[in-house]
Amino acid sequence: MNHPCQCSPLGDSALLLSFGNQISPQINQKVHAAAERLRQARLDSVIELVPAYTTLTVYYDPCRITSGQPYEMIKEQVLNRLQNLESKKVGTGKLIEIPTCYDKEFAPDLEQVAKHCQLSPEEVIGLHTSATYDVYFLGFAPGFPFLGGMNKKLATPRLENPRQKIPAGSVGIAGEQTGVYPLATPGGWQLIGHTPISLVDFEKESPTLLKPGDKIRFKAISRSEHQEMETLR
Amino acid sequence: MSLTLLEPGMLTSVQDLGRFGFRNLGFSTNGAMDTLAAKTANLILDNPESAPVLEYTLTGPTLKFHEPAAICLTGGNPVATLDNQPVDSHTVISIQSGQILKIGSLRSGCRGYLAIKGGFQLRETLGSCSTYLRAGIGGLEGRALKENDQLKFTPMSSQESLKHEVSLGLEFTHYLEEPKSTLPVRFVRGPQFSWFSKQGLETFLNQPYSVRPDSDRMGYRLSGEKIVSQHSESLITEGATSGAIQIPPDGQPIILMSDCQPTGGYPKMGNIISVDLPRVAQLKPSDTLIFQEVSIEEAQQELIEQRFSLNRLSIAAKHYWKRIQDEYQ
Repeated sequence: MNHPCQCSPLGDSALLLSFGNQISPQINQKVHAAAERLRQARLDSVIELVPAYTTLTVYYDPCRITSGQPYEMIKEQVLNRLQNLESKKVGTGKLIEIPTCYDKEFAPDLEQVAKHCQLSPEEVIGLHTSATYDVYFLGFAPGFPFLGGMNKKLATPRLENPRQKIPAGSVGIAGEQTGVYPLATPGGWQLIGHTPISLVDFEKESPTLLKPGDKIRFKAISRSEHQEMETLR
Repeated sequence: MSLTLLEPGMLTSVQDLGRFGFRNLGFSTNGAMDTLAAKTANLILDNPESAPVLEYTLTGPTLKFHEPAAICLTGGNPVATLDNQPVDSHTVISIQSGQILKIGSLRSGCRGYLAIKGGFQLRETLGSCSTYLRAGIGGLEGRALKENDQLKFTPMSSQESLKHEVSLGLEFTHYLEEPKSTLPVRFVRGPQFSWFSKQGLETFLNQPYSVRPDSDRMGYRLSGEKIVSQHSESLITEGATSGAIQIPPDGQPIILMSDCQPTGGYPKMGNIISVDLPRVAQLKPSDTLIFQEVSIEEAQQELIEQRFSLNRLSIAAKHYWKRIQDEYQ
């Protein structure tokens, strides 16, 4: 049998499927394709599936597996479903636009990032808005996307002293990553902009704007557009 | 039907068994730290085992009941009184309208639980009443409880109210062993087990580790002899779960707990087995623990046996409550 992944236990109630050992869109697509397969398989004992960069975690209830040794049973069931896995189709794969205001007021670290990257602030905004980013997975906090696809020219280290509170909607850069904060949290990201749209709504059945496997683009908006969108919320 | 918190206790919050199905969107599951204690309290009252309960830390709340109620205290062993009369854990405590239950400090353990027959009336957020402190959702207004908070609960049927004219003390403790804090904490190997040097493993398996004061519902931070890794590469962030034993570069283990993030970037030595995790949740700062490796087969067998013993408790409690009802018909 040709299995696309390695399988190991993550305690007695989860298993970890590993599809490779580097961060790449191709490997991450396999992760999402596997998640989709297993979602459709609706295995009785499976509680939930959590994708990450190169892995898919399958949480299950061993007490619901009544015959055989639970780990061996679930491993077999899962691996059987993942044969001949195609990596083409990725989740919903929706393209979502994040309107972002890069005005000074919302971008306390834009100058610093530009300086570090030896670019002008306009060039930073240009590079940041011209890429399409893959939502590799959500983690850290509700709705927080781990994005791939940032131009390496924008890579900037985190702040030496993290901020006590970063407002919800902040768009930032940390190392080779860019991201957007759905909730106000402490953090060390370099802040280069702010989106007026909300990324998480706990009252909705589907509480986050972004899903693993989506794609996003940042679209530059003016201060007045930002203000207008914020009042519409 | 309600009760008022005259004193909130320490980090008292509403928890159930957790919020599932949203970890792929970056959510924590939250939920009771000592899930066994939360389930036991509910089952003794013939509630669904996942009904919301109050979880407090080291010191319990003082509650004034405005209607009759039946409650059960589990978890750590508190100095508790009802109108100044001592009351026991792991038993049904019947409470009259106007009475005051004072749950003091814990004689043993770190977390106590209070379940109420019929259950608290709370609105679920995304399928759970568990308080998610970091996101400010669930429980009561997404926060820890404070003085003068009111909690509504489902009224009992008339027969059940009647029986509260007599105090009943049925011990269910013999169904579940008392947690033994001196036993080793068992774990199964994690995906990065082989990252650690022979010496690192020896340290991990033989040295005691103590609970640091900055441990909380997200994670238990331990201190002890440094665990050496022989792997120079860093881990690509991957899925994690409560009970995961992470070893950061400083070699001091962190055990992920109920409020942990669904993904993590530190290598995992292993995962504490589900039946032992409640014991870890009852460790206090400066308590020590020793790790012991077991097979996945043993871990799952233990969990299945625990399921059976909880099922037996549930049946016994159902019989008990049926008898109470029959007596007054």
